[in-house]
Amino acid sequence: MMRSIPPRLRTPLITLVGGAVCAAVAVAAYGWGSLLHLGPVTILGPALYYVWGGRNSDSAAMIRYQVDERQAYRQLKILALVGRVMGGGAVVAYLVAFAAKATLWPFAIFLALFGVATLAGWVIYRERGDGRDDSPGSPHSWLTSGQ
Amino acid sequence: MRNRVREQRTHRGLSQAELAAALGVSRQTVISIENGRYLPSLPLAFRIARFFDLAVDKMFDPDDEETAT
Repeated sequence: MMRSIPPRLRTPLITLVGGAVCAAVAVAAYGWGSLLHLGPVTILGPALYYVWGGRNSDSAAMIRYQVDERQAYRQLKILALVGRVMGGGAVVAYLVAFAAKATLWPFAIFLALFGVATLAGWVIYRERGDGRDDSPGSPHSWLTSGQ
Repeated sequence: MRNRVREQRTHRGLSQAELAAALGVSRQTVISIENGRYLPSLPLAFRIARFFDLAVDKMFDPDDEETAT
């Protein structure tokens, strides 16, 4: 589906749909007045992404989902940093909430997500035979016996 | 790791944008490779070497360990 959308419109459209969903939730919960705050952000965000996506830069390539291998690697490093900060933040936030005797479950959800995502990443991106001695005669030689 | 990408590119009178288009990467990536800030993957290293009709070890010199990704 993503491929059928022109590259420059991909992130703006995703942002627009996400913003519209947030705006709908806000209207349902707080009434039409909430659109005064969310409306401009919902419209300006995608517009900014569209303008920025036309540039010749790494960030623009990421916005267009047209990254080459260096940009993909850079994006991965950025995501890894975000993950570390968010994971650390979840732990700190839980401890602060625990110390302040505040409601814990929202922080516990983020902690659990952190753990589940780590486990899922470990399973999804596992490599067959990783770290095992697969030389002939070793217990794991079956890993390469078919080659 | 030193490489001869800039040397080969200028020798052939190519711009960074033209080389980038030929290799299927961005101009910024060509700049990063030329400056030694980014070590290309093996497939890209082979593409670069083949583009310039050189062997990979002639294109990239592993003896100089000054820069790394």
